[in-house]
Amino acid sequence: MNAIEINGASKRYPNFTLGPIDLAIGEGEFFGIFGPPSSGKTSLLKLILGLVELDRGRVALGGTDSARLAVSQRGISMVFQNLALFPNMSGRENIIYPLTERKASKSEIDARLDAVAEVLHISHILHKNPAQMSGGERQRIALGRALAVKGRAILLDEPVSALDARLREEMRIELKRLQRMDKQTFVYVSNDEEEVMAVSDRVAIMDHGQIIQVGPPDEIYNRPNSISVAKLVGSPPMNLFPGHLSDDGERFESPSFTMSLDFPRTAHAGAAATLGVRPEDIHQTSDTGAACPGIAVSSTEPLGSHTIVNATIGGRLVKIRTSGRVIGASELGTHVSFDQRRLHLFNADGERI
Amino acid sequence: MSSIQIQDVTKSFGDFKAVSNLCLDIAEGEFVALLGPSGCGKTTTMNMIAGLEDPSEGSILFNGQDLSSTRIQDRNIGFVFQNYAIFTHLTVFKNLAYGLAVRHLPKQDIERRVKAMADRMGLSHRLDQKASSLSVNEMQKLAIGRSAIVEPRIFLLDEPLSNLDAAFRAYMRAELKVLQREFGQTMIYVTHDQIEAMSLADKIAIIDRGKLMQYGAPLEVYNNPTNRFVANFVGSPRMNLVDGEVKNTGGSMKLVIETGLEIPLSGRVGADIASHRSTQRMSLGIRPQDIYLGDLHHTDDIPLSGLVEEVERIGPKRLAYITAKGTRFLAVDERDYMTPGSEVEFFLAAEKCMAFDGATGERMGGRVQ
Repeated sequence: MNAIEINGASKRYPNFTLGPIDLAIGEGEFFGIFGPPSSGKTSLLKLILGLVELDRGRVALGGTDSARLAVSQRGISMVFQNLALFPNMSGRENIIYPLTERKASKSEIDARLDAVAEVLHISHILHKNPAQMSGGERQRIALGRALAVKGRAILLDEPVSALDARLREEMRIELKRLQRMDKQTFVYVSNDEEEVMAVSDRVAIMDHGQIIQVGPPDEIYNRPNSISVAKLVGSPPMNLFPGHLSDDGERFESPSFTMSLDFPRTAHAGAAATLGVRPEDIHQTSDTGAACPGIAVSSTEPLGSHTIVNATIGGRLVKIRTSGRVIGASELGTHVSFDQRRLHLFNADGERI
Repeated sequence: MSSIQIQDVTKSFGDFKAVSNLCLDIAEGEFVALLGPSGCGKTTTMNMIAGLEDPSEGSILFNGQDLSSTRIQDRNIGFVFQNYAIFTHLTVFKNLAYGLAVRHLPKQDIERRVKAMADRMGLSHRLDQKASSLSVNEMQKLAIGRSAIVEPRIFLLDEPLSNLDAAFRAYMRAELKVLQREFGQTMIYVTHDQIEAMSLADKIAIIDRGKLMQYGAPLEVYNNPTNRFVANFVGSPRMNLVDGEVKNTGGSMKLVIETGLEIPLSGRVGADIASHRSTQRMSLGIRPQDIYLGDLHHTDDIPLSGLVEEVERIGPKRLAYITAKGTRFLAVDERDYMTPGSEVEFFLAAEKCMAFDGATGERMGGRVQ
């Protein structure tokens, strides 16, 4: 059974329309939602929470229409970006709050608190007030509060975005571990593409109030279904070249290069198309043929494990990711080749072909 | 343009030392990042350079001159803050023109320079609109443009990209670098994001608890961190650092970890430690891409085995979390070998291992090539 099922749900706001959304999130799944700012991510969470009165469609939780469930029966908890901890309560009191509200027995409260504290490694900070905790510690307490009640799903709205980069990396693997151990359904919203792709079993990509692709991270990265997805996923983003397909559909032709395709796209022969190639799929070459465009390097960003090269091909800015650790402008040569098995082609409407 | 010498500067707030005995030489036209966790003293350092705070001890020289008695507005320093600080009730044009207008430049000059800067920043079509109508990304471009337009000799940026979304941040990084190269200004950039520091700066000053931990070119601090703090802070995914006790049994050394894991210390790292005979406790550092999965690359490499806990996709690569007897290692999985729940053999590249003294955190032994 699906933990959350959304069918044809839509909601009109004054400047924005969410949906129609169709989505099924499995029980025990770590489900990510990613999109640019104001693409509808938080609205979608609100819809799952039941905070939105739908214009159309329905949301089912564990197979039951959520409209027929009282709020207390929905079993959905939420971790907000700003945590919303009670400042006058200790970590312990914050965590057990939802349990005491439900008038759980003392033994049940103790058992759940112990379990949560162990997973989150927070036993030593339970006595502190939020003001005495570090950002990461407060984060764990907020998670603890959401986990204290065994519910149907936990929704997390950019839960680590307020932390610094190092702590963010550590927290995301903790979250993943926790979710595995507790076999909880997590719905995780973030505007950090790397983060969402790293933790999720499946990801929904949102844009302009719609879900434009759903799938496992590998599939979304390797086979984006549209230019919109290709631009949103991957850092630095995919390089895109406008052009057209040859009359037999076997080659892609642009003003600065002509490239044979791994298999012909006869259905689109002669049509305008965009070729996409990820920064790591561009390699230097001594070949100067038509398939190997000339490049002019403008700058390099050495990042230690790899280097990002900023260059132009036929006047268009491109980014190249070299696998070599250190690379100077002189080592890049004058021509590059694209990895033919890893090219992405999109038609004039931006759909993958 | 100006060089800056920070000479033995300390800044105390009551009993708290925000900055301790900081020495930093910044050459004319250099792009320097002040990098560290929140509260490390990087913003206090920048505020002292700007003249917003006075050092409690020590001095700051600009082209060899002490400016502590010069008014802030006469120091010719440009600022960009995290929270934009732009006039939202004025048009984009007026915001850009502001710094030139208060300097009483001729009208044609102002117009020409505003148009050029708007073009640079991709704001040409917005010139007549109120700044309040701009998107977050455009506001930050405006903030940078407004400071850059007066061509200050020193440009100070305090986390200017931290409010932006990830894709735009990457774009602005490249933009800033080009801007700095064109103007040739001395730039000081405060950030807690080591990727920003690595990609932008000529040199990085890594600061922790008010103290300078290391100062050098990005690849130098990445490849040869001088202490455990820098090793841990610079690089993403982060370096594996394993703390344990050095034991010498029958002529061969090993690192014994509390969890029961034992790591033989062969090759260069063994020699590094041998040269520090007094060392009992140490940390062994190895970057995730220097752990090989599946096969041995070099006879000195250190073999271990463990359980794959998780595999994450990070851009074009996958990152595996492997637990060997309770100790977790991050390894780059270049060839998609790993599946969660499987037992694997993995190898630490001996030539890439680094040793840090357990007591002081200082690096032991020689540089990594």
